[in-house]
Amino acid sequence: MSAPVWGMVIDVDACTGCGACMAACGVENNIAPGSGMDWITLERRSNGRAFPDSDAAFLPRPCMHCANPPCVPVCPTGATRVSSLGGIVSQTTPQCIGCRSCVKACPYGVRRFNEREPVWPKGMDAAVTPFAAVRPKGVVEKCTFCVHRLIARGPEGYTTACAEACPTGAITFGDVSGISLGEDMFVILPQKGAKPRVAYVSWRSWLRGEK
Amino acid sequence: MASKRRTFLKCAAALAAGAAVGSAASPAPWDALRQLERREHSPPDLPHPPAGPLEHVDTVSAAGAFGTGIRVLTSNGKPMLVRANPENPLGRCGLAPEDLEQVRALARPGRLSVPLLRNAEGRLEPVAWSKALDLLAARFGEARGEVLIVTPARKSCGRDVAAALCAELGAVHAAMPSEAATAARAAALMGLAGTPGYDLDNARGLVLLGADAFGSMPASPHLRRAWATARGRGTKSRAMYFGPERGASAALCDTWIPLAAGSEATAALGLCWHLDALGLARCEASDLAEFLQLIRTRFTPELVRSATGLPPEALENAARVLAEGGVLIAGSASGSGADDAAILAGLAANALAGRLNRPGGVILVEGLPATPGTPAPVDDLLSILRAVAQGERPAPKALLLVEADPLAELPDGVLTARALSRIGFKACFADRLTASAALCDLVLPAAMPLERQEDVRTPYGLALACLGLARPLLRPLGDCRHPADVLLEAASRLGLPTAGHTHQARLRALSLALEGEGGFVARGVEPWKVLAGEGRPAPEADLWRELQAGRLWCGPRIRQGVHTLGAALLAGVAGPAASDLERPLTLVVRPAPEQVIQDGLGGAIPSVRLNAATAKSLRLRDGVRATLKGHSGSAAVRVALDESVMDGHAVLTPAREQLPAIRAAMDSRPAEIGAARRWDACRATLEPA
Repeated sequence: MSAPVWGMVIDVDACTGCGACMAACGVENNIAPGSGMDWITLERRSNGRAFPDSDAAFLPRPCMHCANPPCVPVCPTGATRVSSLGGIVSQTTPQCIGCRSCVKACPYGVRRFNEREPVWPKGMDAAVTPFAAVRPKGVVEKCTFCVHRLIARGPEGYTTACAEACPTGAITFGDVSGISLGEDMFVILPQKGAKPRVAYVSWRSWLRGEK
Repeated sequence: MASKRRTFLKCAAALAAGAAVGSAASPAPWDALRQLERREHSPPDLPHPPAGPLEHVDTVSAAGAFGTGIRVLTSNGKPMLVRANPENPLGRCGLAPEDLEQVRALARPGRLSVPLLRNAEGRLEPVAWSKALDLLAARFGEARGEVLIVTPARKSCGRDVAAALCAELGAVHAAMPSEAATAARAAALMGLAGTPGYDLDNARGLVLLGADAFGSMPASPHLRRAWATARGRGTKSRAMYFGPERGASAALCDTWIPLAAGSEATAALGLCWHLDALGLARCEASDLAEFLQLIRTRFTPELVRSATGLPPEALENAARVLAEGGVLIAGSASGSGADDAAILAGLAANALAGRLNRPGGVILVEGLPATPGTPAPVDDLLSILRAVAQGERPAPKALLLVEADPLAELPDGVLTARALSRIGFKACFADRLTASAALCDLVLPAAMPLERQEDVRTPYGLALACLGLARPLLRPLGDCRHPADVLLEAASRLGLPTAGHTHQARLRALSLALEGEGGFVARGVEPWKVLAGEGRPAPEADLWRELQAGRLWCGPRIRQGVHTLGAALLAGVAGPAASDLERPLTLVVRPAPEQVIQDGLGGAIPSVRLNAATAKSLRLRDGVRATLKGHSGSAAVRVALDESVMDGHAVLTPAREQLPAIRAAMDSRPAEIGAARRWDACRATLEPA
């Protein structure tokens, strides 16, 4: 049996844009409240047509953990690399010098640079978890697919906080090594050649066509 | 001498070696080294993660209106992180943002931690609990029958304490208006007992008429997961959303059919016409003939089309979805003042299609046993406040708001503020200085979820009666206290018999009463399968212990009874309001989910979303400031073009801080049926600022 390759399939038609994925990610990975440094965001896309022909959908946008990540070769310190843990693109903040080359290289805009120290209101630091370091000013951070869960508990039952909390089950996380893009499935910006491991599913042809 | 010196050096070396070995074995120096290392790597102002072992406690979330089962990760006994509890089936392990962020919310900036009393200069200043309680008891003792106590809409043992206190004082007890109360009233008009719940776990189709079943409805966390799981990809389950905006509820449906807010009753009765015409009516209500006569004459496809713009084929499809194992939910966004007539018409449609009190349909959910001596609150708070503001009713001498914020939750904001200003003494329980709390003379800090024990009962929309118990996992911040405990102490100072039963005793009494109700603890059992006819587990011997362990009590039960279709009442439904040239916009207001820390938008003016055609007709452009004007008030807003909103409508999703200003521009109006007031489709105009 081959080693798993971790990825996500997101059912856009089941996403209501409630924000539970962002909240779950924030509390699990110590994203300072109100900092706007969310590792997963919700992008609202519309078909650009006027009412009543309009249509809109929400796209949850985590790091795509690309098979051919443009951010890795540009990192001068090796702070970001494709890890041996199922192809997860890691980010080692103590090695990051804050040059932001990876931010520029990422076609998906999912990397965040800490412009300032995170602010934790008095007493709220009790909610800091041991799962992710609190990133200081001057480093880049991004989604890790909650890799601490994989390290702690192994691949059995491994899932991310956002997939676990999603109230509609729109986010499915798991081994994507055997998945091929079907009729309704698409990835964002395939022309960039990054081979993202986060795929989307939707019946909306206008959404799939916007790749 | 030399020998002594050598001996001394040997002893000293031995002691040093022993100390070094001992220190190496002890964890203290290593821990100190680790701390030093951490400080080297992180600036000192960055928080450090807990070093102790992680444990977990299963309980129920009291943070939202839903009551999800949660697993709280703790470190050194302190809550750190909330995850879903897989042993509690409610919500099927999906969590809402407010459940996830409740540990952070405990340290929310601006949280109240001490009682505050307004001084002679008009400023709120800290005061001791003993003085606050003396004042509260004295004012209640003086006012007695002229006290008004306002409690949240959600039923709980804490609310029962307030009800008992009111009964003994002879005071008025009013609950904040809610869609659950409206739905229960509508069901009662058909001769049904209980609150409607919608069994999406077993339904094969869904028709939403304005109802925000996947957004703001209290049971939405479960309904979303249930529907998303049940429909799956490629299955034949169909869902149709009729409403003014493509929002969260439309997102999970296959089709969105624009329907003006306030037209839900007409649409539901139009759908009944199609049920009848297709021969899909399966109902034996006593007023069936009268009902059919009504829809055949006044709700024909042509008449419904001219009143609502709905194409007949859309309603015909919806009628088929309903008749083929579906469920219809009528209403509006939670807290939007839905009309009794809309929900009544929706229930009638379900009943006509034979979908009432059936698995996969509408189930009338009975309330949990009430504590003796606790009469139900009045549910026309809005009418009371309007009458006080307009001088038609004497102002109460004392007001107590128990975690209620009328200025942020009720329309007619100008009248509400005027009514509050006429009340002699105002006190409130709040966890922060809300708009209403800021007007009070005495503000009492309330404990928050995870700090207090609370019974969490069936959320509106769920098709089965249930109860969970939220446990306190840490001591309340500062001097915060549970409102029920404070009310009991005030009752004790007044010498009232209510004081004899503690809040904890009431919770235990409820648990004991439920043991005789024939329910069960949902452990390894999906209660919706029991509702559909699967075997019912045996009741637990010690329900209290199970509730404390975070488990869920369920009482799925379907009771058949005689009912009507409300034909006589529905005959009074006049259809959608006529167009108003002075106030051409219909408002849809849905408060935004609360954030622990505002992202900077809280203080800014709220955005009003409307489509380009509507904006053009009002001579507005994207991004400009405008004034939203109602009958009695106005609010500053910023225009945001959004083609997801139908013509003639404006959608607002204000933050909590922005709500009072918006409420001032919202007007209520009498409901089509009954004495309550509605504000689900209030009219306004938008003018360039």
